[in-house]
Parts: sequence; structure tokens; C-alpha cells
Amino acid sequence: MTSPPISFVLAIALLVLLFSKPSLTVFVSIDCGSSESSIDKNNIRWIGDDDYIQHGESHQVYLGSNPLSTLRVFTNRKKNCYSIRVGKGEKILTRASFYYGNYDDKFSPPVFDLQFDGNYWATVNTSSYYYYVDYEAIYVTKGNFTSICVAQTRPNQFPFISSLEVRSLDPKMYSHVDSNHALILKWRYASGGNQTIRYPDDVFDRIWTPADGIGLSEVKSEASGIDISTAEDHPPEAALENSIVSSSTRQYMQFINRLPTKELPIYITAYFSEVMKSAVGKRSIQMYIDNKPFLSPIVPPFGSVKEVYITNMTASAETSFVLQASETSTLPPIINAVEVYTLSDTLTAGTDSRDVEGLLQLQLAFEVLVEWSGDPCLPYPYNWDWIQCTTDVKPRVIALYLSGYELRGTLPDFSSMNALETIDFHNNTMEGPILDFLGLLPNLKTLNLSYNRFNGTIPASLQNKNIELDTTNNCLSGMKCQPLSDFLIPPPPPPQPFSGDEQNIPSPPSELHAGDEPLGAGSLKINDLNIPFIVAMQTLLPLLFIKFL
Amino acid sequence: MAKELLTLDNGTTCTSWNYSGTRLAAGSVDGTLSIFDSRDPPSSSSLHSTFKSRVLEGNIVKIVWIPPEYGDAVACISADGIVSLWEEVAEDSQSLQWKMCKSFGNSSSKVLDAQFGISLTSLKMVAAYSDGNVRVFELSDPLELRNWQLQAEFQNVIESVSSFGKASCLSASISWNPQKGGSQESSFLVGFNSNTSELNSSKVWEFDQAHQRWLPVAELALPEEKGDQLYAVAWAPNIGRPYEIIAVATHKGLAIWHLGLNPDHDGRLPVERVALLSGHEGMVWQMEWDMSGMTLATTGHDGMVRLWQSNLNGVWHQQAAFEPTS
Repeated sequence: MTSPPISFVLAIALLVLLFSKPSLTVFVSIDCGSSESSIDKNNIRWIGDDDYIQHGESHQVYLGSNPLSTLRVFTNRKKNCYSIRVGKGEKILTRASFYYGNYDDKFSPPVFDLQFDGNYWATVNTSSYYYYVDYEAIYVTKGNFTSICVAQTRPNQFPFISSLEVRSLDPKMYSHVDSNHALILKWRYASGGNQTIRYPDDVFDRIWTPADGIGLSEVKSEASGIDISTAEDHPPEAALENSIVSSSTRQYMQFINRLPTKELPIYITAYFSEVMKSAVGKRSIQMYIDNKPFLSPIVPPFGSVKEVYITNMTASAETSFVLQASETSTLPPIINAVEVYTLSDTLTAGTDSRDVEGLLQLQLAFEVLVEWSGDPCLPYPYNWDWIQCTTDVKPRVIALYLSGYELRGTLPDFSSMNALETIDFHNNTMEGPILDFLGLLPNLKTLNLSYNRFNGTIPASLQNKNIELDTTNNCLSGMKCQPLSDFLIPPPPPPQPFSGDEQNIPSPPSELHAGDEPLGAGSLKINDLNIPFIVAMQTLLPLLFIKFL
Repeated sequence: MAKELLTLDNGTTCTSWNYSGTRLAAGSVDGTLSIFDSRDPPSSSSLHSTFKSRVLEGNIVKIVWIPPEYGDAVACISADGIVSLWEEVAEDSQSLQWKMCKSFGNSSSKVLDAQFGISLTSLKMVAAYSDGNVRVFELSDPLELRNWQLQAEFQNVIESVSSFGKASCLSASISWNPQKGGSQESSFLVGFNSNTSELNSSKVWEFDQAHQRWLPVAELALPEEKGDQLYAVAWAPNIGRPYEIIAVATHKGLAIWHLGLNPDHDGRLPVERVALLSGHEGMVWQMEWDMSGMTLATTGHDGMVRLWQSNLNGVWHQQAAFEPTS
């Protein structure tokens, strides 16, 4: 049998190439607690979270369905974060899902906080052990990464997460709000129908829940196709194929309101598409908010969609939203779909970029520190466990508490952290020289480097300074250096201090050599740094880039 | 004095006595249904397990016995909102077995509560769904528990209301009028714990045989409390009173209502709240009347079991309270 002609092969290849071109920049679906990937019935590919986080415990949730059949729980640290690569300044939709499923046999679902990019997002309260909850937010990223964190807020109530999804949106979508606020989804409904609409019907994978109502009828659209190009938020056509209608022109349609009792700024989009060709020109809908007319009457177009925005106002559970036939309408009101969001507080700019830079240097130098991610200081008080921050709007890092973190290696240059007042590195195995810049930090009051393996001399910048300095039990000149294997033996009596008048006696060369690590270990260290380097870059680059804005 | 009959397994989520109090059904978090029977002779004080099997995936949140006239059967409500009907049957020469004879499922909403009632002509089951709908199913053949038909579907509202959105109901409570047979039309009581105030208050529904539909004949709520989220309802057996007694629990407390037997000019039955009792801190979980309709037992979030009675002057009070053991 002859092989197919080469033009045919090329045509097939071209076709595959065209169709396989990804239409969205980011479409990440993380099945937390899982180490396998799968494709669900909506053709969404789920991946495990091993590449995003290396701590926490994964658990099987009894009889949950993918991706809710596993979760990852975090029993330590103030917060634990997933960092996901996105485009800088990109508008993204993020969804986090939680299904407790009594994984710990305690019949007691925990309550904890959900955060994004250093901002409060929601308090996760799964309230019952056999329901799942999900939270969705739309915001513009400030860097090349977005970090989603779960934070422990109550003692012994450990945060967990079941799945995490990030989707790119068209930058022109949801544009009636500035990029300094996030949209927090309250509900998103498609009228009539009985199926949830999401990817692939909605290429942005928004989830449109079917909703009917009380005393209302469902009507399917007669249009063979609906042109959605007139709506700037790209509703899926499937969400507009049905609508809900009240029983008569005298019967108004009131939204079931699930907003919080506290007054909050809102962002509502409502979609109207006429369902009957014969109704064109006969149906006209007036919206009332708290019994006052809002905008002019809405005339739903047949075969296309009219999108109505409700922005620049606040609302609460007490606010009433009513659709009623306008005075000239001979047909009752309809609605096809609606989205209701609240606006977040102003998004934080994150920790000061000078501290972000310095912390990145520390993480590159010391492998154990790369496990911390997300904004170092925000939201207050969920800072990284080994730093202390000011409570400014744009916080500074004023202390490093890295005692006993098993840090090994030489000091990096974190001189950009010029707000530091306290540095506590004692009880590690750091080595190499004590760097000059430490004495040049303008606010430094306390520097504790004791019980390490620093060598050389105390730099001149640290002498005659009003800094509380502790360098005991190191390998500095004039000190008797402990062999590495005997590091934990109680220290011997302190060496005889030499005065400035005496000439400095060089240490015997054999003692210096005893402090050196073998070259092989150095080589391994360099290799080991590759992985933490990648993670550290993921972790901190979004914040580092803030300085260039 | 109280006597311990049985220690249930870890993971047990619900139990239910049959009508005569001789059999106990228990459901657990892994979907296991257990049946416990009194030993013979009846004076024995312990129960023993006669059936134990995993009957569904996911945990069982409620078990309801079918009226004994229709055999030994239970309905299990699972956490994902499916009701499955299990019947004890004897096949050939084998021992008694429990088999599933019917499953009521709805892909878009969960069953929150289900209760059986006997009408003039047939056995009925009322189910309350998480979307705020109430559905009544009817057994078409009294000898065959497999054949059920949807007889009615409505929402728990009285006034004509048009509300758009998805009602979100956390829980519901249903109680049938325990009056069996007789000449009275069957009626039941249902209330919701939801985000839609129109659905929440408990309403009495009565079957209109002439028009084959269910009519709301009473609402057990003061005007300012109609939107209060409901925890539980219980209709007391009536042994000759000229009115019905109904208990309704909300976050405001435990209310005792009198329901008149003769309709007003608008077809509604007169209602009067005769007591508002406090006791359980937090949610009331379950309420049961005794056979005479004179003593109400309640349990709730505080873990206590409380008994309530009225004195000869008609004043209701707490008669006793039981602390959970260990």
C-alpha cells in the first residue's frame, strides 16, 4: 500500500497545528493533594499540585469526585501559598474549591481564610462536612505570578484546599471597575435550562448555575443562533438560549438576594435576549433598585444580547432588585443570565520591593527558605513566620528571625532591606565572611550571628557602632573554631581576647582547612540550588517586578 | 429511669425507630444501613443487629420508616440528596433480606427531608428539595413498593410571589398529620431553612380531593417572623382535642401552636401560638411527640434531650432534661 501523498500529510499537520493552538494564555487546573493528572467530562485537564507546593499533607476524601476526591491540608505556618505563572497585568479569573468530606474523621470542618496576592479574599466555612464550597475572584495581576494562600485563623483549625483554577480573561471584560479592585463572585446564573454551563461552552470557564425561581416560567429561545459580539463580557451562547419570564405584565420579577448584610460596592451584569421573534417591539423591561427606576427601559433584542451593568453603587441583603414590564410593554419581563459580584477593598501593592529583593536573595542562598511563598508581609498579620513587618500600607521588613533554621552556606547580599532593625541568625551553620553591608544598614540595632561558622574578621563597618552585636562561637580570627561534627558540644571557655595593641597572630593553616567543606559537597549544593532557584523565582518575581511599575 | 439499650458504631449519623418502637434503623457516614431488633421475649432490654450492609455511596443523613400497614421498609436520604427505599423481603427459602425497591433522585437538587403519610386512597411521600420545591409522590399499587408516581409539585409559598434566582435551602422539616384514615383529608406541615424568606415559615398543606391538588390552609408564623429560618416541625397526635397541636422550632425558640379544625371564611384554619420556649442553645435538631401528643421530646446542638409538657392550665414548660452520657 502506498503511503499517503505528502501534500495530504502536510494538510493534516497544518490542521492539527491550527486547532491545537491554545486560545487562552492561562488555563491551569490544580487538583490539590493529588499527584496524578486527569481529564474530566468537560475536557478540563487537571494536574496534581506536586510542582506547586512541597509541604502540607495530602488526603483522600472519601467518595468525593475528582477533583474533590483529594485535598491538601496545612498544619503549620501562618499561611501556605500556591504561586501560578500568569502574564503581568493580565486579567484573570481564579477559583478555589473546598470539600471537607470529613477527611480527618472529626466531623468538624475548619474555618480559615483564603487570600490572593496579599489580599483577603474570603473566610472559608464549609459549615457541613458533606457539601463543597467554591470561591471565585476576578482581578488584574501585578506581576508575572499570582499567589493564592490559605491562612490559619483559629487554633487547631487547619486550612486545606481541594482544587485551584486560574483562567485568563479578555482584558476588556469586566472593564467597568478599575484594576485596583477585585471582583468577588456572589452568584452567576443562567435562567432556565437544567445544566450547569462551563468550559467548553464558556471558553473562559465561568460556571453558570441554572436558576429558575418562584412563580416564573422557563422559555426557550426561538433564535437559531445568538450573536454575542454585542456583549463585551462574552457570555456563552448556551447561557442565553433560555430565559425566565413572569406570569403577566403585572407580575414583577424580584431577585433572590444573597448579598451580605453589610453594605458593599457591587458589580452586576445582566443579560437580556428576546426569546420570541413575534415579541420584537412589544416587550420592554424596567429595572428598579430599592423601588427607584434604574436606567431607561431595556428592550431585549432577538438573535443577539443586551448587557446591562450595575456599577458604582453599594448594596446589601436589604437592597431590592426588581424587573417589571415598563408602561409601554405588552409582554412580561424576561431575563436570560445574571452575574453578581462585590468589589474587594483596594488591592495592596504588596511588601516594599526592596525587601522583596532582599528576601529573594536569602531564599536563593538558603534552600529551606524557599518553602515560604506569597506576599512576605500581607495581608496583615499573615507574614512569613521568620520575618517581622511594619503595619504600613506598603510594609517594610524590620526583623529576620532565622535562629535554628539549619541555614548553611555563605551570607548573600540583602543590603536592599534597609529598614531592618533586628537580624537573628544564631544557631545555624553559616560560614564565610561577615559582610560589610551589615554595618551599613541604617536602622540596625541588633545583630546576632553567634553559634555559626563565620570566619575572617568583624568588618570595620560594624566596629564602633551602636549595634548590639553577638558573634560568639564562630570561626572568626582569634577564636578557636569547633570542628563541624562536634558543633553541638557545649562550647569551651571563651578564648583569651586580644587587645588592639597586640599584633594579630594568623591562625594555623590546618585549622582553616578543617572548616572548609569538601569540593564534592559544594558541587552537590550547586545542583540542589537549581530546584529551589526555580521555586524561589516563581515565589518572588511578581513582587520584585512591582518596583518597575 | 433511663436504660441504655445499644451502643452505636463510630460514624453513625442518624437513627430512627419504627412505629411500634421495636426496631431501630441506623445510618452511618460510609453509607451503611443497620437494623436492630428487640430480642424475644419483649421484656428483654437489649437490641441485636439483624441486618447490616452498605446500601449506598456517601453517608446517610436521615432514615424514615414507612407506615407498618405497607410492610417493613425504610427510606434513606443520602448526603447527595438521593432517597432510596429499602424493603425487608423473604425470597424463596432464604432468610429475610433488605432490598432496594425504589430510588428518587434529581440531578439538580437534593432531598433535604422526606416523610410518609397515609391518605384516603394511598400511601404518599412528601419530599422537600434544596431548590425550594416540595414534591409529593404517590404509591400506585399498595402491594408493590416499587411503583411511585409524582402526584404534585409546588413551592412552600402562600401569596403569589415571583422571585428570580436559585433558592438555596440548607435544610427542611416535614411532619404529617398523624391522624390515620378516618374521613379527614390528609395534610402535612413543611418549612425550610433557606435564603428565601417566603419559603421558610412552616405552612400546613391539605389535599383537595375534588381538585386533586394541595392547598395551603395555614401558616404557623407571626407576621414579623415569616422569614425566620426553620429548624424542625412536629405534629402531635390528637386523641380527641378540638384543635391540633404543632411544635415549630426556629432560632427564636420552640413555639407551640394550636391549629383550629374548622376553616374561616377564606378557607384558612385559625392558628394561635400558645407558647414560646427556650432551652436548646443553638439549633434544634429533632422533635418527637409521644403517642398521646402530650409530651414533646427535643434534641439540639447543645447535646441535651429535653421533655416538654403543659400543665392543667395549658402553660408549657420543660419537664425534664437529659445530659449525654460520657
